[in-house]
Amino acid sequence: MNRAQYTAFCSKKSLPKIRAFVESELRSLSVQDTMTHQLVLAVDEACANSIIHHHACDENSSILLSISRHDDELRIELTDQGAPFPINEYRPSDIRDIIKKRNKGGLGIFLITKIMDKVEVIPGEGMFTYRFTKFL
Amino acid sequence: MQIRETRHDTYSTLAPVGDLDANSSMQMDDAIQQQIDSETYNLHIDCAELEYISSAGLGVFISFMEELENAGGKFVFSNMADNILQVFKLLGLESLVTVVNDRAEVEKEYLHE
Repeated sequence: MNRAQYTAFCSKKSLPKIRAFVESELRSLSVQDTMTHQLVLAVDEACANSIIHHHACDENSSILLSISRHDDELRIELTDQGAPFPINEYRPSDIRDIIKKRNKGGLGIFLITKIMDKVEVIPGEGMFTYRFTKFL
Repeated sequence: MQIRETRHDTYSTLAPVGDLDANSSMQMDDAIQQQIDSETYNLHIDCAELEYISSAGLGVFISFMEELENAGGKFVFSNMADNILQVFKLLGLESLVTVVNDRAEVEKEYLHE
């Protein structure tokens, strides 16, 4: 099993670099194009949430991403500090409600849960990991 | 990201170039707000050079959708690459907005107003 890792500083400017890392790793794992686009999007959403909401874009802090393949499943993990957002308990709103409320938020987690087959939150000592699994 | 703006008789075109993500979405927000401030409510979003869109980018369009409609206007999206259209579809948004192929169809959409 190969595991690729990337540490990103908590700036919105890190997002294009995160996307480039994920895209490059998925291509090296021969993941097909459509799935790659979707997975890049899901990881971008998760990282943007952490960077903006959890770290308030503090460039002195960082998050750790890792990508690995386990037989027929792809595992993408985002490790962060502090207390996690219970992303696995999120129930998406109807898109029409979001439009009505002129709400810019809430769409990211909606996309993550739509794209990923499994979303887990793994607690640790002063840290936690979001584990996103996609069956290949 | 850059946004090219062009005014036409009955609508304006905003053409984002590059990635519309959490880092650049405020630029699009400002560009749309400026159009609304100048009472332009028919907004054509030309996606020909849009390479990537995240929920932050889509959220900008969603947040203005009702305001445009209440003022008698609407967004028309054109020239969407597959990866962009896919994001609209994941959210179920493609049935709630007007998506056309090219500029000629954009003109038709606004002529029917």
